[in-house]
Amino acid sequence: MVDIALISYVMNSPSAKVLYSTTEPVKELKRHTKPKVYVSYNVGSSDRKTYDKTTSRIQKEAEKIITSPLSEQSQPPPLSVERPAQVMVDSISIYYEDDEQVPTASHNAVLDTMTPAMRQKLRARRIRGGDDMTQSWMGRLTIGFYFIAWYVLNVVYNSKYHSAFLLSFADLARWPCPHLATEGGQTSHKIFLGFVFCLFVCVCEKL
Amino acid sequence: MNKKILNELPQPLTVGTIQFAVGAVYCGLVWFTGLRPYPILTNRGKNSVGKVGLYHSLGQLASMLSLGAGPVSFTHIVKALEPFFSAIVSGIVFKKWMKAPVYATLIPVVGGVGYACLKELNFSWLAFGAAMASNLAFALRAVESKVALESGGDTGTNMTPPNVFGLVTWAALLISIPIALIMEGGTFMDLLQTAVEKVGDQWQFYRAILFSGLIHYLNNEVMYMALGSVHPVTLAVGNTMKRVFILVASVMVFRNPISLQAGIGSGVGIFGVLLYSLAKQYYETLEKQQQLLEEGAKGKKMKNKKFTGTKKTSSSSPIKVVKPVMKVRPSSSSNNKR
Repeated sequence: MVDIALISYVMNSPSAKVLYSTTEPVKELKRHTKPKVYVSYNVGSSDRKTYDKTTSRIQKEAEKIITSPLSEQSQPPPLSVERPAQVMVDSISIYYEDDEQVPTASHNAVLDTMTPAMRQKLRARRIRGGDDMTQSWMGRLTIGFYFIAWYVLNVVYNSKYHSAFLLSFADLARWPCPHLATEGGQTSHKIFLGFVFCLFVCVCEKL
Repeated sequence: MNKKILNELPQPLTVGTIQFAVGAVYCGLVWFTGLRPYPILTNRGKNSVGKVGLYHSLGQLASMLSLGAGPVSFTHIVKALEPFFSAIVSGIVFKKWMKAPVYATLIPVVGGVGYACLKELNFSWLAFGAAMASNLAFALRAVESKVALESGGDTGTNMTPPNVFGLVTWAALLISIPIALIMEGGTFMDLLQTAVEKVGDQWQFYRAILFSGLIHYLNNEVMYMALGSVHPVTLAVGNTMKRVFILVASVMVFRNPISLQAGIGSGVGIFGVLLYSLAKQYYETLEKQQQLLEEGAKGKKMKNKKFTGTKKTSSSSPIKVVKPVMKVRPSSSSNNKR
């Protein structure tokens, strides 16, 4: 038998919690926002009379049940429906209360409680074109770093300084480091460029 | 593409292919040594990377063609239109359009940068067409790359921005090799010999090409890292403003004098970027607030909803991750009671 209480129980069960904890961390989960689970349901009955009696109670009970799966609650609340009508579960959704971003399906613990065939069918795809990291100051700084690095590399790529490898060293006289314009200075600028390159690779790897 | 190298060795396709090869070798080494986990592509990922590689190589090819066919400043002016292309392509692909005022802020960006780059007014249809084609190819590249980056596991594993660009470089290299061989293969060796003789030191010449390829690769890799975090239109605006940054760098580092026209154009461009940023942020916040209000209203409606006798099809949640439909049987005890 499956009912809302059972769904809630599965979501709050230790095995589901293990799944939550073992799923690969994603950006969304790094934030201190708990995902909310929303179960959309519909209650009906063949005689239509039972509905009126049960629906208000079920709604009240469901509000208690539908809590965060990551909450401290380990036991599902009792669902004391005396005469439940037919319950249709429309959809189970997970969302962050204060954000519009969609967690990927692979990190959806609800999917993990389903059969592989169902998972395959219900795999959610997240394609969005919005900015993601612009929400935090750290994200903005990182983006700023990317843009500055991009611009600097582009200047190096297009500069006469770079062309000096190939052309005349006279152009280097315009560079405000005169020692670089000499033949002997080549070594120092090569070391410098090597240092910058290694630093860049390390930073990229860390990021 | 480094104009100076092209002056010595006028083989843009071959030099471009060599630059792709340098980048491909670099990322291959990074993957091989384990410095960066290598990506594994799914069929969808292969298709996506192939497409982006095609756009990447076509964009580079068209850029070079435009540079060769007309004045450099003319190419820069036409290429400053890239944000418009990106806006249209991303709107079509993502099926999500920004608000009109946000698009309007692109006008001072494009106009300012175009005015700053305005030097020669020699019009060339070939240069214009190639630069426009380059804009389209790069806009498609950015948007398709964004789709690949945001598709999660659908395109493959370890699909980080640097890895995606590494794969794109490999794809572009494979596409460019036959084109370069067909178009320039016959004359390449003779022209290379001439270039080496002109420069004097052949190792210095090869080093220049290798260094150029490496910088070209790193430049684009960082651009992809930025693309991983921003909207393609924002990236296109950044790409346009790159020209202003080059002007500023040339003044500050190389002490090159800047004309009044370039100064005014750069100022307008920078002001346009500020407007774009503010407008985009404002409308995004507004949209988010509206969404929350709608959710709140839907939530209340949901709470007070009466039974209609039909199966409900919509959820009040803003984001549907899964949509199972499960019939829940009534318990045996309830059946008895009924």
